[in-house]
Amino acid sequence: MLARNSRERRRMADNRSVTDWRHRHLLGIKELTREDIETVFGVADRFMEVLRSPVRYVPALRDFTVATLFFEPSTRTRMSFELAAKRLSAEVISFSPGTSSLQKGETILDTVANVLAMGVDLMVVRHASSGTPHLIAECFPQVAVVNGGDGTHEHPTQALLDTYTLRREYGTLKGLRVAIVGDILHSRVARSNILCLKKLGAEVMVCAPPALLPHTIEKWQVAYTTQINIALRWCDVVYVLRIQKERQQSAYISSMDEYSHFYAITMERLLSAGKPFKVMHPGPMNRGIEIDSRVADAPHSLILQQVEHGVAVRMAVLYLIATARGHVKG
Amino acid sequence: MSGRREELIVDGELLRVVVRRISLQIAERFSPFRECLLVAIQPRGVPFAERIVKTLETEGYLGGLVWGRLDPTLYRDDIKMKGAVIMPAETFIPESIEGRTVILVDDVIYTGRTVRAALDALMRFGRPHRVELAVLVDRRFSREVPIEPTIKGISVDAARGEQVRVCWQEIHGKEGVWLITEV
Repeated sequence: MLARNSRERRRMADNRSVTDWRHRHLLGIKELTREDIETVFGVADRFMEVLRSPVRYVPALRDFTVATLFFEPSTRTRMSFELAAKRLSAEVISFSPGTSSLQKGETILDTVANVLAMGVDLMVVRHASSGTPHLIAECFPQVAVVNGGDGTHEHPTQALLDTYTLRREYGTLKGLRVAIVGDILHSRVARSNILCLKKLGAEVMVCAPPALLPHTIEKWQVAYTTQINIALRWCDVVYVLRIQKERQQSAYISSMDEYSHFYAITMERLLSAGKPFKVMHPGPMNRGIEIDSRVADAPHSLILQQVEHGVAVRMAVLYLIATARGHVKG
Repeated sequence: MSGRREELIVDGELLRVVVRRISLQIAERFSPFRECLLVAIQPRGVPFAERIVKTLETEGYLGGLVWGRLDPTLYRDDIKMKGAVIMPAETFIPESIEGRTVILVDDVIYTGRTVRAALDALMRFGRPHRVELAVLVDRRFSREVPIEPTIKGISVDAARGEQVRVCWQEIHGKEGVWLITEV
């Protein structure tokens, strides 16, 4: 007997709290309701308790096999997912392109089919092409797919852990002012965070050099500026994106020095904004380029909390998707 | 069209007597509670534990009793069978259980699987000296694992499809034990 059509968590006949989670995959923040996001937060709270107790794992996913398929390099996101799966007692296997069949010319779908044939229940997929996890979910309905970052499209677990960090810090995101600074144009982290922050009632402003602001920015329904001081004077929290050196080579910015000069988050800039602030960064940081060391290491920085919360939030996502698998049809 | 039949098998008056007797039994064996913790099994062991604590306080035996709550959801063996995703509830054990007596508390014991999961969940926090199990209602002859309460209230014989529900005034607006059958 399924719980249906409720807007709040409610008690089933046996008095246990059930969620309305009905997603077989996590492909983006776009498909999530505000209630879904709150459900993830609620479960993440429980996993934070687990992570801070003497034995940091639970057997909930002991009959599950999770594969991480990272077609794009990543250390921290992959490690975070692996740890999350292991702390749920799932079996974890990792696939990285450098040592694999992809170099021998195998297609993505063949690679996935091969991994699935070995018996995998859930895949975490990261790929340089937007839409890859969606394609996999469509072609292979028997496996659950979690998007670990697709092209410039979405990185849903990053946005979930970022907003969870803010929720733990501020209690609520309603009316909170968040400025996202950096290469907005190419950032899936920015896209997912903007969607997530708005769903939770926060106000968002993006700040970037003109070449790194999408020309469709008006349609994004966020405030935007090219002036860092405007953004810092407005916001409660500054979310700093990494500037990639490749952008310098492809003429989006003239030089890293110039970017730093105009947009680096320095202690001086933050203090001259004259109000309390917090600083976040998805990592890895380029110290001295988009963010000063002093800022990254200051008490205002939530960066290490983001990492800690990342494991709990990913555990929550894996738990919800794995337990929903039995009764939610694709 | 199916319906529900609810039969009151223990009224509020008798329920309070049983709760008092269990509380005094706990006091008799474990007072002054220095080496002891009461741990309520979420979710329905919590109101029962609250009543025990209140009764001990009224009777003057509370002493330094420490109590917490434990959620066995993540240790269940049937987590995917429930038809919806269960939200794990809070686990909060305020002090170390290492070397101490833990009294697990739940309102009803049926197959025993919940208690088995709670024992696994508990062991994560250390090695207790011993574990006792206090339940208000023992559904006899229904165990699927070899687990029995060491302190018990009343015994009820109920069939497989029936539910035994304990209701508390402060939560349900009524007090007593009901036998619920789908007809």
